Amino acid sequence: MPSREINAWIRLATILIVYVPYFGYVLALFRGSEAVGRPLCLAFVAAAFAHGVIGGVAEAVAQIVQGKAPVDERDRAIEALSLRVAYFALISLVMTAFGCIALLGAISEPSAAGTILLPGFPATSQFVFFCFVCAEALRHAVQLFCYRRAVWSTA
Amino acid sequence: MKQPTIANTIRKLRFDAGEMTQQALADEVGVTRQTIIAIEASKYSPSLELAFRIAHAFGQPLEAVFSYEPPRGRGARRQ
Repeated sequence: MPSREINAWIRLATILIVYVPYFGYVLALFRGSEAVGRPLCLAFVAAAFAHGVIGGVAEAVAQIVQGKAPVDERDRAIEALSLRVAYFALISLVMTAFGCIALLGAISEPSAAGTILLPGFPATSQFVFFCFVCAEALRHAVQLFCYRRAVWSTA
Repeated sequence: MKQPTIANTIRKLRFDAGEMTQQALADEVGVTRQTIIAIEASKYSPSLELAFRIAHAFGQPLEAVFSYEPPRGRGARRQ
């Protein structure tokens, strides 16, 4: 298995290992009634740190075992294709989310105090973060698909 | 995704060239062995430059290594 394919497996596995529990915890926080600000900040820092450390160490070990393979034009084509797909997914998800928020604001009835209740900054920022994680996972999934199957469309 | 219509004779040419290994060809044209495997299996269409390098490695013209099969049916141009 080429080293870049191994790296894509490592990164995808790291995302699943770190961010599935993270977003599970975030959902639990939002379902509860307690304040979410501080625990959310700590969880975010812990998840980002764990993602960097686990992925970095695993890649370093794989590189020591297998050696570093040179990058050629197929690797670059796969990288470009996966980035394009991930960017499209990210933009689509974020635009859809903000479209939904805007629609919610437009159709919501104002409360007794005259304000419209919309998702606050913690929820919105977590959703945007979720979009980034999804896009990154999709990027590695596309890389794996291309390495295992074919790169037909690189133009 | 669109299926490739570029066929190649790399496997046969390697065999004719004293059973040249995929790694030897990869080293000669400056790519990884996985890329040669993908090209041989028509899972990756190389750039024009790499195609010329592969043909040069076998001492053959480009059309002896790669051939283009025009798509049939709707959208195909008349010959």
